[in-house]
Amino acid sequence: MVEVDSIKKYFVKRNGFFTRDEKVVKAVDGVSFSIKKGETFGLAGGSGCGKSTLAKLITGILKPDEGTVSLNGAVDIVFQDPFGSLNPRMTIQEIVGEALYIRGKDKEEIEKRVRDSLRMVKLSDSNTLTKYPHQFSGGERQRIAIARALIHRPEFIVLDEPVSSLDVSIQAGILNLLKDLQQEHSITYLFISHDLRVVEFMSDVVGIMKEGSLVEVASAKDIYNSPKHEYTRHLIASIPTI
Amino acid sequence: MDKLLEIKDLTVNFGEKCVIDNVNVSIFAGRVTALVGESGSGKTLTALASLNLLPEAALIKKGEVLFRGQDMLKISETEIRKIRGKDISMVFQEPFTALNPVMRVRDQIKEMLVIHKNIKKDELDLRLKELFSIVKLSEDTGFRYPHELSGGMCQRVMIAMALSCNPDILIMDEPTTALDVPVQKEILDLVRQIQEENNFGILFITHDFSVVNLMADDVHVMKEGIIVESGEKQDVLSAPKHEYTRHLIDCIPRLGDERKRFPIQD
Ligand SMILES: Nc1ncnc2c1ncn2[C@@H]1O[C@H](COP(=O)(O)OP(=O)(O)OP(=O)(O)O)[C@@H](O)[C@H]1O
Ligand SMILES: Nc1ncnc2c1ncn2[C@@H]1O[C@H](COP(=O)(O)OP(=O)(O)OP(=O)(O)O)[C@@H](O)[C@H]1O
Ligand SMILES: [Mg+2]
Ligand SMILES: [Mg+2]
Repeated sequence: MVEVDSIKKYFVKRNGFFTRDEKVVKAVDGVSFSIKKGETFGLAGGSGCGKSTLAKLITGILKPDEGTVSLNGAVDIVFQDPFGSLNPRMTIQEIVGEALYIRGKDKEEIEKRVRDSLRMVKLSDSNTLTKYPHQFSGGERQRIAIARALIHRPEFIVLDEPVSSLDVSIQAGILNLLKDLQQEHSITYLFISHDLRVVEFMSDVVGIMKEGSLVEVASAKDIYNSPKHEYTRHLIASIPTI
Repeated sequence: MDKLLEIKDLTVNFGEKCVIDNVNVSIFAGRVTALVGESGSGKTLTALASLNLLPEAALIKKGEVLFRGQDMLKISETEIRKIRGKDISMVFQEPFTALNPVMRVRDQIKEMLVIHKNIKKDELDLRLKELFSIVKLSEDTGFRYPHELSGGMCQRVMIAMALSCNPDILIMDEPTTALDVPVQKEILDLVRQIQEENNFGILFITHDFSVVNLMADDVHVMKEGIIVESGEKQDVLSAPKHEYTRHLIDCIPRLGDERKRFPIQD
């Protein structure tokens, strides 16, 4: 379903206006993996290790310097920063229904599906549809971004920290929902999170990323029961018990 | 205990809808007051009210926010500007949106220090160095623009900025949602250490109970605009009284959990 082959993305930065001092950030530095149809690949790693850059390379938002990505079917992404990714001048109905408007579905059907989609993410207030993104809480915006991606049932969805602002109860509901939809429609996920407990719950295969590279890839079970790489062990040892 | 700020009977509506319902929260010197609870329950709005930053459409039905004997909801915009950033600073929930997109992040922190602290050039560089090291960022990072940073790096820049002026009160709204646990712990431990040295008060909003456990002294649990349970951390975490608090604790993901689904109704 998804094949990522030795992709690289470097950013070159100058430190200040007048200096020639250049610094290369190797955001993604030769990453390869694949995801089977209907499965979830969980991606975890430290802050700034390249997860969001990898997500953007896979969905074609950024072009890799080297390497290839091949996908089979439609892909959508839920961005880490929902506020930045929701058009501030569009209503929630327009944002969530956008993919359906583009396909020329009729108005009534769109409104019904938008309502269903919002209900699934526990946003069912009667006046939600006509509100704008700034009129919601952080976690509500995150759920709007999820509803927007789920509405047109793409074959593959990249979820970049999709539940990071949700209370554990609503988080649990969203994770259940993602699993149910996967079962029903064999959706494939790339699930990015810094919370290894959530990654374990969601994933078939887990990749641990550090400084632009995948240092370990294994089944969810093996990663947690017998982590091989030192960094993986470090991350697992730090998982809180509460 | 030295009470620095008190939110009293605060009630806020958007039109007919009540989003904060008779909320009472205090911030104490040297202590961390945590606000946890449901997404959309009014946590961020409660924090924004303390800085008189509620959205224009918000109707304050009742209540006051007392800081140094003044009601923050009533004092003039000029007065409040002097307080914001300097005496009370805030780490916003969506830091990327709170940062200036066309300014290098180091310059944004520098600006705070110059405006509020009138700091000298050589001290300035030293202070910036210190702030970047507190939040575990290399100084190079400072020369980037917000869009060139990762989610967690933006959060760390926000934390550095909020700490920069040695505030009396630090409000942190979901400050570490993009940080891996080791970095999160390192930074939060340092924040507590700095708090011990300077004795400021913290209002800490989070949905993460392990962070509550790490940071909090007092905890308030919110649902639908109402504080349903308040108490000291140990009591709330180990013997929660309210059903909603117990439900939340049940929903915490656990490693090696055999559950294929979480125990919640649809
Ligand atoms: N447009 C850009 N220009 C320059 N550097 C960039 C750009 N985008 C990302 N970077 C850098 O690439 C590195 C990886 O960033 P990325 O956003 O992929 O990290 P991440 O793993 O998603 O981190 P987090 O968990 O904190 O969100 C960081 O050092 C970041 O500063
Ligand atoms: N400008 C606004 N107009 C109308 N309603 C608003 C506005 N801002 C917030 N709200 C509503 O007020 C309620 C409380 O919002 P708030 O941002 O305080 O929630 P929160 O507890 O911080 O949630 P989260 O954990 O998801 O960030 C939400 O239901 C939200 O939809
Ligand atoms: Mg990221
Ligand atoms: Mg909030």
